Amino acid sequence: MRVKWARTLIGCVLLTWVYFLAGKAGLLLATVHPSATAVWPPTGISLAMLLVFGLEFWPGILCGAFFVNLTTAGTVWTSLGIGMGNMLEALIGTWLVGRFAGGARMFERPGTLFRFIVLAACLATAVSASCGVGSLYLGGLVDAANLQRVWLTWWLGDAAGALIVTPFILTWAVAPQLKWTRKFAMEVMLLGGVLTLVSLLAFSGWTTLGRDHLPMAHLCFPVLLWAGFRVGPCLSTTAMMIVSSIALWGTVRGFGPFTVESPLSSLFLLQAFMGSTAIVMLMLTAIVHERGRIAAQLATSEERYRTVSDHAADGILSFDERGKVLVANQAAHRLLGNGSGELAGRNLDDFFPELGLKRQAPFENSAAAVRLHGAAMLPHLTLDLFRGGRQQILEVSFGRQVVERRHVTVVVFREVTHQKLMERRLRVILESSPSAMIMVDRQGQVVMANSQTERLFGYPCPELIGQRIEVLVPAALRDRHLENREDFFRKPEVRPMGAGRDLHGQRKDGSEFPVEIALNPIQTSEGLQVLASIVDITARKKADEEIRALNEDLERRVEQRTAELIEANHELDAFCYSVSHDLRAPLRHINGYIEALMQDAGERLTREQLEYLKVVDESSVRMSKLIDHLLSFSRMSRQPLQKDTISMDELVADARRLLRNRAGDPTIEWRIEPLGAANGDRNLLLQVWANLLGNAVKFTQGRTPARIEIGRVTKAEKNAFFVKDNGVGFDMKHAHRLFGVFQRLHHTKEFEGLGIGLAIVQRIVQRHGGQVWAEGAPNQGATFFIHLP
Amino acid sequence: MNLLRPILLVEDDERDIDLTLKAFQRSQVANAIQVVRNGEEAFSYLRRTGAYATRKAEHPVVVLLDVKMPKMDGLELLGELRKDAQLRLIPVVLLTSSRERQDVREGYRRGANAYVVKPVKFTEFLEAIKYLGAFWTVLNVPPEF
Repeated sequence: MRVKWARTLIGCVLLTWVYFLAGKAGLLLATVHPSATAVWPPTGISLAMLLVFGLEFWPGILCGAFFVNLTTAGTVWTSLGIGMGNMLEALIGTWLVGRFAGGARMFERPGTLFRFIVLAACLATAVSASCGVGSLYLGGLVDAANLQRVWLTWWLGDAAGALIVTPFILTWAVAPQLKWTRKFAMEVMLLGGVLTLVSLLAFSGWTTLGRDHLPMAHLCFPVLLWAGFRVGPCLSTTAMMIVSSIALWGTVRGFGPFTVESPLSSLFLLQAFMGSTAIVMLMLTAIVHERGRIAAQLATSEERYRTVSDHAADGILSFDERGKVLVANQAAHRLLGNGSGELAGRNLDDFFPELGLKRQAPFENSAAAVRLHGAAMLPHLTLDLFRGGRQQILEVSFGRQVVERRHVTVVVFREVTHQKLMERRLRVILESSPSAMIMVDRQGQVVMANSQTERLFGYPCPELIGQRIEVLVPAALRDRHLENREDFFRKPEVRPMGAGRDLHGQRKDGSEFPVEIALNPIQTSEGLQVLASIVDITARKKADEEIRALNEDLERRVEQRTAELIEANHELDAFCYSVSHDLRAPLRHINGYIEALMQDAGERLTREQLEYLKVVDESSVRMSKLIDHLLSFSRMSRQPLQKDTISMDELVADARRLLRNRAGDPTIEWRIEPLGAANGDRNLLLQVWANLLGNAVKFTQGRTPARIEIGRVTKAEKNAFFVKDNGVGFDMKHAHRLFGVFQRLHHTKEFEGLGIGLAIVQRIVQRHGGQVWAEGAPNQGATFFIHLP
Repeated sequence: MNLLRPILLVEDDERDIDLTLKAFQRSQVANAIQVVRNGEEAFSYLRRTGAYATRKAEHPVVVLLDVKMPKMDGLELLGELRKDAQLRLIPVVLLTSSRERQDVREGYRRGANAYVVKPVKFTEFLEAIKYLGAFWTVLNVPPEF
């Protein structure tokens, strides 16, 4: 802060001194009034200083002006008034220029320069003139008759100072921008020499031109224009300073075109001339400077454009109405040039005939757009080219501009061969699908559909593209479909659509049909899309319906058959009941009466007759047994199963106990392995074991030792229990008869029996869902296997 | 207590009646054998109605009841008998050809005191009748009526 104050203080002191000296110099030329002069450089200095260094240096101006006047002709009060006026002039001028004319760089543009001239040089200086002249008038140092002349002189001096001195200081202070080269230095020296020479010719008394006051001031113009066009703002303002100084020197000495009788008038005319010249000169400099700046900007812009264009991956070229290529970037050369050199200047049709054919067509309807906007952008085209034996697919967009009444077409293109070929392959795959395939974007618009879709829904593909997918949904379901679609995009995953629901599609003619839909999310360059695969399941539904009808019919028939079976069972029950009662009674009668006969008349009968009666007696008993077994077999078949987990070891023990009770205990070598448990009806399985063991005991009669093995084995990947004996065995060729009802392989005389036991075994095992089979050989024993699930 | 009360045989088959009587005869049972040929007749006898109105007022020592009979079968008759307050305590033996399990179960369910299958072989039938006679006329103590 202290440094800033010190800087301000020093600046103010210096400014005071500079102002004081310049003021003193100016007042030397004062004629109309000691304090009013037509040459007042301090105005230019003070404006420039405040514009460059800041408004805080105003005290320097106040002090400088105060002391100049105090030491010249004024009183303290008039000097203070004049000082205040000069200070306000600088402050107001600086503020206006800063606010409206671009500040210290106001000389760079014609617009800001113009505002500087009006606001600072013309208006602000009026403040100084008014304050100064007013102070003198109030101090009694000027009378009313001279007031106008003094004011005008004052104002003109200030204005000329602002127009000549301020730009000179500012151009050197702000933007010298001088690139000194030998050639430039030579030109500047030449310019300086010529300018000095011409000024001296016009304004000094060295030649008759100056001495005779010939109006030759305009001789300076060509040289000043030379400066304005060639050497930049700094040297131009300097040139103006040089001309101005020489002109002032000459005029004061009584030479030059502006010297008239009155010195005041001479200076007045000179300053008017110099002010006007300065305005023209400054304007010219500003215009030249701006043109240079714009040219530089244009060059930068063009360079930037060229850099972008040359580094762009897309090919860019422009051509005129005749197809002549105007500009082509590097990518355009790479994509189209095929190593054939520069494209610019060649005719498009020579190397790009496909585009040549297209290049007019897209614009036929765009003439109005060109007329309205001067440019038209058109939808892009896809061009298939075959260049050098290679397929090349380009995506091309056109723009048209009217430049200098010529139609210029700009083409931007890129190679999309790979993507397009992939797309075409995808389309082939889609087309080969038996299902309708539809690709839908996030907004629900159809972006692709195969011909199956056309066949299924009746919409031509082009008509479907761009439409909402909901047009294919029955109207009543569209709102719900919309929600489901949004849900899918929130959580996209491969899944069947509408799990558990019957889905329907709607054809173009409004008819509906059942469909099955699979959804696949696909990430594409245009965002997430969904591929829907749609199958018409009308035929399947019909087949399902037929199957259902057949099943119902089958069930009905099964029920009917079951009812018939139940009826048959009832009849069988009735039959069995009848057999139990009615077949036994006659047998009993036969047997009863035969025995009664034998007892009563036995003595009177011959031995042969008795034998006959015995046969009848035995046959009736055997018949009774047959009936009993047949009933037993029937019972086994019909009795409901009562399944439980049963210990087979216990069952075998029980069966052996039964056999002992029935047949005593023949000497048999038993080998019984642990059997574990099985699932089944205890009573029925007991019957199985009893019959199998009974058979084994029966058919090992007479064997020494008779041996029966019981165990468990895995046969043909099935767990099976087995009963193996070393009895008479059987021939395997009769094995199929073993399990038939009343089938016997041995005569009753050899081994008792009715041939029902194994039939019962098989029936019981089959009712358990199991299997029974036997292996054996004559006289080598037999093995019976039971598999229970 | 009169153990010589008659045995009531309910049987429709004449030959069975004949053979049964023969069997009783040969097994030397002292009790009279009263034969009735169907359920109705059996009730008539037991309730002393109709042809039996004048018979002596005593219940048989046992009723031997055939199961399969025309009109009212044995099981039906047994059911009715057990519903009758006067007759319900009379011992009834079902004497039948059937070994069918449901017949046996149904017989006992309706209140039979025994179930005897008539053997086909006459000698075995004789044995059965002999044992039956001995049991129901000698060993068994019937309720007092």
